[in-house]
Amino acid sequence: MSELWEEFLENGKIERFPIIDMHCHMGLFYGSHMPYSDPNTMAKRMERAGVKLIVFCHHHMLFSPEIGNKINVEIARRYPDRFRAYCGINPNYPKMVENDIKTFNNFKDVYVGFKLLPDYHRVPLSDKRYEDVFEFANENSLIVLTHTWGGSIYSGAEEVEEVLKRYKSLILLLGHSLHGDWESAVKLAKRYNNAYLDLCAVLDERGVIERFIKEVDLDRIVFGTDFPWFNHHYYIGALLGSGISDSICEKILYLNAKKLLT
Amino acid sequence: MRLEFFDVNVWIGNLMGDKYGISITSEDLVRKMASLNIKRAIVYHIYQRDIHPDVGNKILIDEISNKPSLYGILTVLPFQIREIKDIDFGELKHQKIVGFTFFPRRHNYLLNKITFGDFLSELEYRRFPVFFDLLSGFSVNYQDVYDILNDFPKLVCILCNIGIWNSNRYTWPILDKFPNVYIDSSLLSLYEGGLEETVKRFGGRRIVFGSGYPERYIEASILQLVHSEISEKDKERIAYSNIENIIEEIKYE
Repeated sequence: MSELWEEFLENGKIERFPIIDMHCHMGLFYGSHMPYSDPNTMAKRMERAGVKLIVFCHHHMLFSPEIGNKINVEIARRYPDRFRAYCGINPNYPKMVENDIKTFNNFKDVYVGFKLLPDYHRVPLSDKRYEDVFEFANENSLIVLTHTWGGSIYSGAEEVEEVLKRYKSLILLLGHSLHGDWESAVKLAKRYNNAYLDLCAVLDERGVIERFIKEVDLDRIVFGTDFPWFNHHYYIGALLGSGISDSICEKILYLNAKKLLT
Repeated sequence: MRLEFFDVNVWIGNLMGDKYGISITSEDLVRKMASLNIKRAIVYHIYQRDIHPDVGNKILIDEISNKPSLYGILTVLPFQIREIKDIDFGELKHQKIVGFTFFPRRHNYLLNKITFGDFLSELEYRRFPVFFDLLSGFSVNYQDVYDILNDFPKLVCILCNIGIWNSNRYTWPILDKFPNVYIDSSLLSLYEGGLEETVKRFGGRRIVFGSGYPERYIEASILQLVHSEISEKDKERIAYSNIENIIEEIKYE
Protein backbone atom coordinates (compact mmCIF):
# COMPACT_ATOMS: atom_id res chain seq x y z
CA MET A 1 0.00 0.00 0.00
CA SER A 2 1.09 3.61 -0.58
CA GLU A 3 2.79 5.95 1.88
CA LEU A 4 -0.28 8.15 1.90
CA TRP A 5 -2.47 5.20 2.85
CA GLU A 6 -0.17 4.25 5.69
CA GLU A 7 -0.15 7.83 6.97
CA PHE A 8 -3.91 8.19 6.78
CA LEU A 9 -4.44 4.82 8.42
CA GLU A 10 -2.09 5.69 11.24
CA ASN A 11 -3.15 9.29 11.91
CA GLY A 12 -6.44 9.86 10.13
CA LYS A 13 -4.86 12.76 8.27
CA ILE A 14 -1.62 13.72 6.62
CA GLU A 15 0.96 16.42 7.12
CA ARG A 16 2.32 16.85 3.62
CA PHE A 17 -0.65 18.68 2.08
CA PRO A 18 -4.11 19.87 3.12
CA ILE A 19 -7.30 18.69 1.46
CA ILE A 20 -9.83 20.87 -0.31
CA ASP A 21 -13.35 19.59 -0.93
CA MET A 22 -15.02 21.40 -3.82
CA HIS A 23 -18.54 19.98 -3.50
CA CYS A 24 -20.22 20.38 -0.14
CA HIS A 25 -23.47 21.42 1.47
CA MET A 26 -24.65 22.28 4.97
CA GLY A 27 -27.79 22.14 7.07
CA LEU A 28 -30.71 19.76 7.43
CA PHE A 29 -32.18 18.08 4.37
CA TYR A 30 -35.66 16.64 3.81
CA GLY A 31 -34.50 13.39 2.17
CA SER A 32 -32.33 11.91 4.88
CA HIS A 33 -30.92 12.19 8.38
CA MET A 34 -27.79 14.36 8.48
CA PRO A 35 -26.65 14.40 12.05
CA TYR A 36 -23.43 16.38 11.52
CA SER A 37 -24.61 19.13 9.23
CA ASP A 38 -24.20 22.26 11.40
CA PRO A 39 -21.15 24.41 10.67
CA ASN A 40 -19.45 23.93 14.02
CA THR A 41 -19.61 20.13 13.89
CA MET A 42 -18.59 20.16 10.24
CA ALA A 43 -15.51 22.24 11.00
CA LYS A 44 -14.49 19.83 13.77
CA ARG A 45 -15.01 16.80 11.58
CA MET A 46 -12.96 18.36 8.78
CA GLU A 47 -10.09 18.78 11.18
CA ARG A 48 -10.08 15.05 11.96
CA ALA A 49 -9.54 14.16 8.31
CA GLY A 50 -7.14 16.99 7.46
CA VAL A 51 -9.65 18.80 5.27
CA LYS A 52 -8.57 22.42 5.36
CA LEU A 53 -11.26 24.02 3.27
CA ILE A 54 -14.62 23.16 1.77
CA VAL A 55 -16.70 25.01 -0.78
CA PHE A 56 -20.38 24.64 0.03
CA CYS A 57 -23.88 25.75 -0.82
CA HIS A 58 -26.33 25.50 2.06
CA HIS A 59 -29.33 23.20 1.60
CA HIS A 60 -31.68 25.89 2.79
CA MET A 61 -30.54 28.20 0.02
CA LEU A 62 -31.05 25.49 -2.56
CA PHE A 63 -34.49 24.50 -1.33
CA SER A 64 -35.92 27.73 0.07
CA PRO A 65 -36.18 30.91 -1.97
CA GLU A 66 -37.10 32.80 1.22
CA ILE A 67 -33.70 32.17 2.73
CA GLY A 68 -31.59 32.64 -0.36
CA ASN A 69 -27.84 33.18 -0.29
CA LYS A 70 -27.68 35.18 2.91
CA ILE A 71 -27.17 31.95 4.86
CA ASN A 72 -24.14 31.06 2.71
CA VAL A 73 -22.61 34.49 3.25
CA GLU A 74 -23.28 34.61 6.96
CA ILE A 75 -21.75 31.19 7.68
CA ALA A 76 -18.77 31.52 5.34
CA ARG A 77 -17.88 34.82 7.00
CA ARG A 78 -18.05 33.23 10.44
CA TYR A 79 -15.53 30.56 9.40
CA PRO A 80 -13.35 32.25 6.79
CA ASP A 81 -10.51 29.74 7.10
CA ARG A 82 -12.78 26.74 6.74
CA PHE A 83 -15.63 27.58 4.39
CA ARG A 84 -16.01 29.30 1.04
CA ALA A 85 -19.38 29.28 -0.69
CA TYR A 86 -21.03 28.96 -4.05
CA CYS A 87 -23.69 31.53 -4.79
CA GLY A 88 -26.71 29.26 -5.18
CA ILE A 89 -29.00 29.83 -8.15
CA ASN A 90 -32.66 28.86 -8.36
CA PRO A 91 -33.71 29.88 -11.87
CA ASN A 92 -37.39 29.72 -10.98
CA TYR A 93 -36.92 33.03 -9.18
CA PRO A 94 -35.44 35.36 -11.82
CA LYS A 95 -35.50 38.49 -9.64
CA MET A 96 -33.40 36.73 -7.02
CA VAL A 97 -31.01 35.55 -9.69
CA GLU A 98 -30.70 39.08 -11.05
CA ASN A 99 -29.99 40.41 -7.59
CA ASP A 100 -27.47 37.67 -6.81
CA ILE A 101 -25.53 38.46 -9.97
CA LYS A 102 -25.70 42.19 -9.32
CA THR A 103 -24.35 41.82 -5.79
CA PHE A 104 -21.93 38.94 -6.46
CA ASN A 105 -18.84 41.15 -6.28
CA ASN A 106 -19.81 42.41 -2.83
CA PHE A 107 -19.07 38.94 -1.54
CA LYS A 108 -15.75 38.17 -3.17
CA ASP A 109 -14.41 37.01 0.18
CA VAL A 110 -17.16 34.36 0.27
CA TYR A 111 -18.08 33.21 -3.22
CA VAL A 112 -15.92 31.24 -5.61
CA GLY A 113 -18.67 30.95 -8.22
CA PHE A 114 -22.17 29.55 -8.65
CA LYS A 115 -23.98 26.36 -7.75
CA LEU A 116 -26.75 25.00 -9.99
CA LEU A 117 -29.15 22.18 -9.20
CA PRO A 118 -31.08 21.61 -12.43
CA ASP A 119 -32.74 18.30 -11.54
CA TYR A 120 -34.19 19.60 -8.29
CA HIS A 121 -35.22 22.98 -9.70
CA ARG A 122 -36.49 21.25 -12.86
CA VAL A 123 -34.86 23.63 -15.27
CA PRO A 124 -32.52 22.21 -17.95
CA LEU A 125 -29.02 23.67 -18.06
CA SER A 126 -29.54 25.02 -21.57
CA ASP A 127 -32.65 26.97 -20.50
CA LYS A 128 -32.63 30.74 -21.04
CA ARG A 129 -33.18 31.30 -17.33
CA TYR A 130 -29.57 30.32 -16.63
CA GLU A 131 -28.11 32.53 -19.36
CA ASP A 132 -27.26 35.58 -17.25
CA VAL A 133 -25.46 33.41 -14.73
CA PHE A 134 -23.39 31.70 -17.39
CA GLU A 135 -22.62 35.03 -19.11
CA PHE A 136 -21.46 36.55 -15.84
CA ALA A 137 -19.41 33.49 -14.89
CA ASN A 138 -17.89 33.39 -18.35
CA GLU A 139 -16.93 37.08 -18.35
CA ASN A 140 -15.28 36.67 -14.96
CA SER A 141 -13.81 33.18 -15.46
CA LEU A 142 -15.71 31.87 -12.45
CA ILE A 143 -16.37 28.33 -11.29
CA VAL A 144 -19.86 26.95 -11.90
CA LEU A 145 -20.57 23.73 -10.01
CA THR A 146 -23.61 22.06 -11.47
CA HIS A 147 -25.28 18.84 -10.49
CA THR A 148 -24.99 16.50 -13.49
CA TRP A 149 -26.56 13.07 -13.86
CA GLY A 150 -26.37 10.51 -16.64
CA GLY A 151 -29.54 10.38 -18.70
CA SER A 152 -31.15 13.39 -17.05
CA ILE A 153 -33.18 15.72 -19.25
CA TYR A 154 -32.05 18.56 -16.99
CA SER A 155 -28.37 17.82 -16.48
CA GLY A 156 -27.38 14.92 -18.76
CA ALA A 157 -24.53 14.92 -21.27
CA GLU A 158 -26.40 16.82 -23.99
CA GLU A 159 -27.36 19.65 -21.66
CA VAL A 160 -23.85 19.90 -20.27
CA GLU A 161 -22.36 19.97 -23.73
CA GLU A 162 -24.65 22.84 -24.75
CA VAL A 163 -23.14 24.92 -21.95
CA LEU A 164 -19.59 23.91 -22.77
CA LYS A 165 -20.08 24.75 -26.45
CA ARG A 166 -21.27 28.25 -25.64
CA TYR A 167 -19.02 29.25 -22.75
CA LYS A 168 -15.30 28.71 -23.00
CA SER A 169 -13.99 30.90 -20.19
CA LEU A 170 -15.95 29.70 -17.20
CA ILE A 171 -14.86 26.62 -15.25
CA LEU A 172 -17.62 24.02 -15.37
CA LEU A 173 -17.40 21.50 -12.53
CA LEU A 174 -19.49 18.51 -13.49
CA GLY A 175 -20.90 17.59 -10.09
CA HIS A 176 -21.07 13.77 -9.85
CA SER A 177 -19.42 13.55 -13.29
CA LEU A 178 -22.65 12.67 -15.11
CA HIS A 179 -23.23 9.84 -12.66
CA GLY A 180 -23.64 6.52 -14.44
CA ASP A 181 -22.87 7.95 -17.87
CA TRP A 182 -19.14 7.83 -17.18
CA GLU A 183 -18.28 7.49 -20.87
CA SER A 184 -19.84 10.86 -21.64
CA ALA A 185 -18.06 12.46 -18.69
CA VAL A 186 -14.74 11.27 -20.09
CA LYS A 187 -15.70 12.38 -23.59
CA LEU A 188 -16.67 15.90 -22.48
CA ALA A 189 -13.59 16.31 -20.30
CA LYS A 190 -11.43 15.37 -23.27
CA ARG A 191 -13.30 17.61 -25.69
CA TYR A 192 -13.56 20.79 -23.57
CA ASN A 193 -10.65 22.02 -21.50
CA ASN A 194 -12.91 23.99 -19.16
CA ALA A 195 -14.80 20.83 -18.12
CA TYR A 196 -13.73 19.44 -14.74
CA LEU A 197 -14.79 16.12 -13.23
CA ASP A 198 -15.98 16.05 -9.62
CA LEU A 199 -15.62 12.79 -7.66
CA CYS A 200 -18.73 13.20 -5.51
CA ALA A 201 -20.82 9.99 -5.81
CA VAL A 202 -18.11 8.54 -8.02
CA LEU A 203 -15.88 6.99 -5.38
CA ASP A 204 -18.52 4.68 -3.96
CA GLU A 205 -18.17 2.53 -7.09
CA ARG A 206 -14.96 0.70 -8.00
CA GLY A 207 -13.55 1.13 -11.46
CA VAL A 208 -14.66 4.62 -12.43
CA ILE A 209 -11.85 6.75 -11.02
CA GLU A 210 -9.37 4.31 -12.53
CA ARG A 211 -10.97 5.00 -15.91
CA PHE A 212 -10.88 8.78 -15.40
CA ILE A 213 -7.21 8.64 -14.47
CA LYS A 214 -6.36 6.76 -17.63
CA GLU A 215 -8.20 9.06 -20.00
CA VAL A 216 -8.71 12.52 -18.56
CA ASP A 217 -6.28 15.41 -17.98
CA LEU A 218 -5.16 14.81 -14.38
CA ASP A 219 -5.35 18.53 -13.61
CA ARG A 220 -9.10 18.47 -14.18
CA ILE A 221 -10.28 15.96 -11.60
CA VAL A 222 -11.32 17.46 -8.27
CA PHE A 223 -12.27 16.07 -4.90
CA GLY A 224 -15.91 16.45 -3.89
CA THR A 225 -17.98 14.54 -1.34
CA ASP A 226 -21.34 16.24 -0.75
CA PHE A 227 -20.16 16.54 2.87
CA PRO A 228 -22.08 16.46 5.27
CA TRP A 229 -23.91 13.80 3.28
CA PHE A 230 -20.83 11.64 2.99
CA ASN A 231 -17.80 11.00 5.13
CA HIS A 232 -14.34 12.30 4.28
CA HIS A 233 -12.44 9.27 5.56
CA TYR A 234 -14.65 7.00 3.49
CA TYR A 235 -13.97 8.98 0.32
CA ILE A 236 -10.26 9.35 1.00
CA GLY A 237 -10.01 5.61 1.71
CA ALA A 238 -11.75 4.90 -1.57
CA LEU A 239 -9.44 7.16 -3.54
CA LEU A 240 -6.36 5.57 -1.98
CA GLY A 241 -7.88 2.12 -2.44
CA SER A 242 -8.10 2.69 -6.19
CA GLY A 243 -4.35 2.21 -6.33
CA ILE A 244 -3.52 5.49 -8.05
CA SER A 245 -0.18 7.08 -7.23
CA ASP A 246 0.35 9.42 -4.30
CA SER A 247 1.26 12.26 -6.65
CA ILE A 248 -2.05 11.95 -8.51
CA CYS A 249 -3.88 11.78 -5.18
CA GLU A 250 -2.21 15.05 -4.20
CA LYS A 251 -3.46 16.69 -7.38
CA ILE A 252 -6.99 15.44 -6.77
CA LEU A 253 -7.17 16.12 -3.07
CA TYR A 254 -5.43 19.47 -3.10
CA LEU A 255 -3.47 20.93 -6.01
CA ASN A 256 -6.20 21.04 -8.64
CA ALA A 257 -8.64 22.77 -6.30
CA LYS A 258 -5.97 25.15 -5.04
CA LYS A 259 -5.28 26.23 -8.61
CA LEU A 260 -8.97 26.83 -9.24
CA LEU A 261 -9.33 28.93 -6.12
CA THR A 262 -6.33 31.20 -6.67
CA MET B 1 -1.54 -2.93 17.25
CA ARG B 2 -3.60 -2.64 14.08
CA LEU B 3 -7.24 -3.52 14.08
CA GLU B 4 -8.09 -6.81 12.37
CA PHE B 5 -11.25 -7.30 10.35
CA PHE B 6 -13.86 -9.91 9.51
CA ASP B 7 -15.64 -8.75 6.36
CA VAL B 8 -19.27 -9.91 6.00
CA ASN B 9 -20.03 -8.39 2.62
CA VAL B 10 -18.02 -9.66 -0.34
CA TRP B 11 -18.74 -11.58 -3.50
CA ILE B 12 -16.40 -13.47 -5.81
CA GLY B 13 -16.59 -14.57 -9.44
CA ASN B 14 -17.00 -12.96 -12.82
CA LEU B 15 -19.76 -10.41 -13.19
CA MET B 16 -21.76 -10.83 -16.40
CA GLY B 17 -21.57 -7.18 -17.50
CA ASP B 18 -18.22 -6.24 -15.99
CA LYS B 19 -17.50 -2.99 -17.82
CA TYR B 20 -14.82 -1.77 -15.44
CA GLY B 21 -13.02 -4.97 -14.59
CA ILE B 22 -14.05 -5.21 -10.95
CA SER B 23 -14.56 -9.00 -10.80
CA ILE B 24 -12.27 -10.98 -8.53
CA THR B 25 -11.32 -14.59 -7.95
CA SER B 26 -11.21 -16.13 -4.50
CA GLU B 27 -7.41 -16.14 -4.79
CA ASP B 28 -7.40 -12.37 -5.57
CA LEU B 29 -9.62 -11.82 -2.57
CA VAL B 30 -7.40 -13.75 -0.18
CA ARG B 31 -4.38 -11.72 -1.33
CA LYS B 32 -6.27 -8.45 -0.95
CA MET B 33 -7.44 -9.43 2.52
CA ALA B 34 -3.91 -10.22 3.63
CA SER B 35 -2.73 -6.76 2.55
CA LEU B 36 -5.38 -5.06 4.73
CA ASN B 37 -5.32 -7.26 7.83
CA ILE B 38 -8.69 -8.79 7.01
CA LYS B 39 -8.39 -12.16 8.66
CA ARG B 40 -11.69 -13.64 7.52
CA ALA B 41 -14.55 -12.90 5.13
CA ILE B 42 -18.05 -14.15 4.41
CA VAL B 43 -18.60 -14.40 0.66
CA TYR B 44 -21.05 -15.57 -1.93
CA HIS B 45 -20.36 -16.42 -5.55
CA ILE B 46 -21.93 -14.09 -8.09
CA TYR B 47 -23.19 -17.15 -10.01
CA GLN B 48 -25.54 -17.85 -7.09
CA ARG B 49 -27.29 -14.69 -8.20
CA ASP B 50 -26.62 -14.50 -11.92
CA ILE B 51 -26.68 -18.13 -13.11
CA HIS B 52 -28.61 -20.27 -10.64
CA PRO B 53 -28.37 -20.86 -6.88
CA ASP B 54 -27.77 -24.57 -7.34
CA VAL B 55 -24.85 -23.93 -9.68
CA GLY B 56 -23.45 -21.02 -7.68
CA ASN B 57 -23.78 -22.73 -4.29
CA LYS B 58 -21.72 -25.68 -5.46
CA ILE B 59 -19.01 -23.44 -6.90
CA LEU B 60 -18.96 -21.40 -3.70
CA ILE B 61 -18.55 -24.46 -1.49
CA ASP B 62 -15.74 -25.69 -3.70
CA GLU B 63 -13.98 -22.29 -3.83
CA ILE B 64 -13.92 -21.78 -0.08
CA SER B 65 -13.13 -25.40 0.83
CA ASN B 66 -9.35 -24.91 0.66
CA LYS B 67 -9.26 -21.31 1.89
CA PRO B 68 -9.44 -21.21 5.68
CA SER B 69 -10.12 -17.48 5.82
CA LEU B 70 -13.28 -17.67 3.68
CA TYR B 71 -16.79 -18.58 4.86
CA GLY B 72 -19.84 -18.82 2.63
CA ILE B 73 -23.53 -18.00 2.46
CA LEU B 74 -25.90 -20.07 0.34
CA THR B 75 -28.70 -18.82 -1.85
CA VAL B 76 -32.01 -20.67 -1.85
CA LEU B 77 -35.11 -20.80 -4.05
CA PRO B 78 -38.64 -21.78 -3.07
CA PHE B 79 -38.30 -25.39 -1.93
CA GLN B 80 -41.70 -26.30 -3.36
CA ILE B 81 -40.16 -26.37 -6.87
CA ARG B 82 -37.34 -28.70 -5.82
CA GLU B 83 -34.75 -26.88 -7.95
CA ILE B 84 -32.43 -27.11 -4.99
CA LYS B 85 -32.17 -29.88 -2.44
CA ASP B 86 -33.41 -29.56 1.13
CA ILE B 87 -30.78 -28.14 3.41
CA ASP B 88 -28.76 -30.50 5.57
CA PHE B 89 -27.78 -28.15 8.39
CA GLY B 90 -25.30 -30.60 9.92
CA GLU B 91 -23.33 -30.68 6.68
CA LEU B 92 -23.19 -26.88 6.47
CA LYS B 93 -20.81 -26.63 9.39
CA HIS B 94 -18.17 -28.70 7.57
CA GLN B 95 -18.68 -26.63 4.46
CA LYS B 96 -18.13 -23.38 6.43
CA ILE B 97 -21.57 -22.08 5.50
CA VAL B 98 -22.65 -19.40 7.97
CA GLY B 99 -25.80 -17.95 6.47
CA PHE B 100 -28.30 -17.61 3.65
CA THR B 101 -29.09 -14.96 1.13
CA PHE B 102 -32.08 -14.44 -1.15
CA PHE B 103 -32.51 -12.71 -4.52
CA PRO B 104 -36.30 -12.79 -4.96
CA ARG B 105 -36.37 -10.01 -7.54
CA ARG B 106 -33.66 -11.66 -9.62
CA HIS B 107 -35.07 -15.16 -9.27
CA ASN B 108 -38.72 -14.18 -9.56
CA TYR B 109 -40.56 -15.28 -6.46
CA LEU B 110 -41.95 -13.68 -3.32
CA LEU B 111 -39.95 -13.89 -0.14
CA ASN B 112 -42.65 -14.23 2.49
CA LYS B 113 -44.34 -16.54 4.93
CA ILE B 114 -46.24 -18.39 2.21
CA THR B 115 -43.13 -19.25 0.21
CA PHE B 116 -40.57 -19.65 2.96
CA GLY B 117 -42.49 -19.92 6.22
CA ASP B 118 -41.08 -23.28 7.39
CA PHE B 119 -37.55 -22.47 6.30
CA LEU B 120 -37.45 -19.03 7.90
CA SER B 121 -38.89 -20.50 11.11
CA GLU B 122 -36.11 -23.04 11.13
CA LEU B 123 -33.47 -20.37 10.53
CA GLU B 124 -35.00 -18.32 13.32
CA TYR B 125 -34.81 -21.31 15.69
CA ARG B 126 -31.25 -22.21 14.65
CA ARG B 127 -30.09 -18.60 14.86
CA PHE B 128 -28.80 -18.97 11.31
CA PRO B 129 -28.20 -15.49 9.88
CA VAL B 130 -29.92 -14.22 6.79
CA PHE B 131 -28.04 -11.61 4.74
CA PHE B 132 -30.27 -9.11 2.96
CA ASP B 133 -28.92 -6.87 0.19
CA LEU B 134 -30.89 -3.64 0.10
CA LEU B 135 -29.14 -1.90 -2.77
CA SER B 136 -28.82 -4.09 -5.83
CA GLY B 137 -32.52 -4.23 -6.70
CA PHE B 138 -32.13 -8.02 -7.05
CA SER B 139 -32.83 -8.88 -3.45
CA VAL B 140 -35.23 -7.10 -1.06
CA ASN B 141 -36.42 -3.64 -0.17
CA TYR B 142 -37.20 -2.21 3.25
CA GLN B 143 -40.87 -3.09 3.03
CA ASP B 144 -39.89 -6.75 2.51
CA VAL B 145 -37.58 -6.61 5.51
CA TYR B 146 -40.23 -5.02 7.71
CA ASP B 147 -42.76 -7.68 6.65
CA ILE B 148 -40.40 -10.61 7.18
CA LEU B 149 -39.35 -9.37 10.60
CA ASN B 150 -42.95 -8.84 11.54
CA ASP B 151 -43.54 -12.55 10.83
CA PHE B 152 -40.19 -13.80 12.17
CA PRO B 153 -39.21 -11.33 14.87
CA LYS B 154 -36.33 -13.38 16.26
CA LEU B 155 -34.67 -13.98 12.89
CA VAL B 156 -30.95 -13.21 12.94
CA CYS B 157 -30.69 -10.81 10.11
CA ILE B 158 -27.79 -8.81 8.67
CA LEU B 159 -28.81 -5.86 6.54
CA CYS B 160 -26.18 -5.28 3.86
CA ASN B 161 -25.71 -2.38 1.43
CA ILE B 162 -28.31 -0.37 3.31
CA GLY B 163 -28.63 2.44 0.77
CA ILE B 164 -26.56 5.29 -0.66
CA TRP B 165 -28.45 8.00 1.19
CA ASN B 166 -28.37 7.88 4.98
CA SER B 167 -30.87 5.13 5.83
CA ASN B 168 -31.33 5.72 9.56
CA ARG B 169 -35.00 6.45 9.00
CA TYR B 170 -35.40 2.90 7.68
CA THR B 171 -32.91 1.02 9.84
CA TRP B 172 -33.31 2.56 13.29
CA PRO B 173 -36.98 1.52 13.74
CA ILE B 174 -35.88 -2.05 12.91
CA LEU B 175 -32.90 -1.96 15.27
CA ASP B 176 -35.17 -0.56 17.94
CA LYS B 177 -37.75 -3.34 17.67
CA PHE B 178 -35.83 -6.45 16.61
CA PRO B 179 -32.82 -7.35 18.78
CA ASN B 180 -31.35 -9.89 16.34
CA VAL B 181 -30.96 -7.45 13.48
CA TYR B 182 -27.50 -6.13 12.56
CA ILE B 183 -26.27 -3.63 9.98
CA ASP B 184 -23.21 -4.12 7.81
CA SER B 185 -20.94 -1.09 7.93
CA SER B 186 -20.15 -0.83 4.23
CA LEU B 187 -22.56 2.00 3.52
CA LEU B 188 -23.17 3.12 7.09
CA SER B 189 -19.53 4.24 6.91
CA LEU B 190 -20.29 6.28 3.83
CA TYR B 191 -22.76 8.50 5.68
CA GLU B 192 -21.22 11.38 7.59
CA GLY B 193 -21.83 10.51 11.26
CA GLY B 194 -23.77 7.36 10.33
CA LEU B 195 -21.63 4.94 12.28
CA GLU B 196 -21.09 7.18 15.28
CA GLU B 197 -24.73 8.09 15.73
CA THR B 198 -25.88 4.48 15.35
CA VAL B 199 -23.41 3.39 18.01
CA LYS B 200 -24.48 6.26 20.25
CA ARG B 201 -28.11 5.18 19.92
CA PHE B 202 -27.80 1.36 19.94
CA GLY B 203 -24.33 0.60 21.29
CA GLY B 204 -21.53 -1.13 19.40
CA ARG B 205 -23.06 -4.59 19.18
CA ARG B 206 -25.47 -4.04 16.29
CA ILE B 207 -23.01 -3.28 13.49
CA VAL B 208 -20.74 -5.73 11.65
CA PHE B 209 -17.86 -4.78 9.40
CA GLY B 210 -18.55 -5.04 5.68
CA SER B 211 -16.91 -3.58 2.60
CA GLY B 212 -19.15 -4.31 -0.39
CA TYR B 213 -16.04 -5.49 -2.24
CA PRO B 214 -15.50 -5.82 -5.17
CA GLU B 215 -18.13 -3.23 -6.04
CA ARG B 216 -16.75 -0.79 -3.50
CA TYR B 217 -13.31 -0.17 -2.01
CA ILE B 218 -12.45 -2.06 1.20
CA GLU B 219 -10.08 0.75 2.17
CA ALA B 220 -13.02 3.17 2.41
CA SER B 221 -14.79 1.15 5.13
CA ILE B 222 -11.55 0.47 6.96
CA LEU B 223 -10.37 4.08 7.10
CA GLN B 224 -13.74 5.33 8.26
CA LEU B 225 -14.09 2.74 11.03
CA VAL B 226 -10.52 3.11 12.27
CA HIS B 227 -10.92 6.88 12.61
CA SER B 228 -14.54 7.01 13.73
CA GLU B 229 -15.39 8.78 16.97
CA ILE B 230 -16.35 5.67 18.93
CA SER B 231 -14.52 3.71 21.62
CA GLU B 232 -11.72 1.28 20.73
CA LYS B 233 -13.83 -1.50 22.24
CA ASP B 234 -16.71 -0.72 19.90
CA LYS B 235 -14.32 -0.63 16.94
CA GLU B 236 -13.21 -4.17 17.80
CA ARG B 237 -16.80 -5.30 18.19
CA ILE B 238 -17.69 -3.95 14.77
CA ALA B 239 -14.47 -5.03 13.08
CA TYR B 240 -14.71 -8.70 14.02
CA SER B 241 -16.16 -9.76 17.37
CA ASN B 242 -19.86 -9.18 16.70
CA ILE B 243 -19.85 -11.46 13.66
CA GLU B 244 -17.77 -14.04 15.53
CA ASN B 245 -20.47 -14.14 18.20
CA ILE B 246 -23.23 -14.45 15.62
CA ILE B 247 -21.48 -17.43 14.01
CA GLU B 248 -20.78 -19.08 17.36
CA GLU B 249 -24.46 -19.04 18.21
CA ILE B 250 -25.57 -20.92 15.09
CA LYS B 251 -27.20 -24.26 15.99
CA TYR B 252 -26.03 -26.61 13.25
CA GLU B 253 -27.25 -29.78 14.96
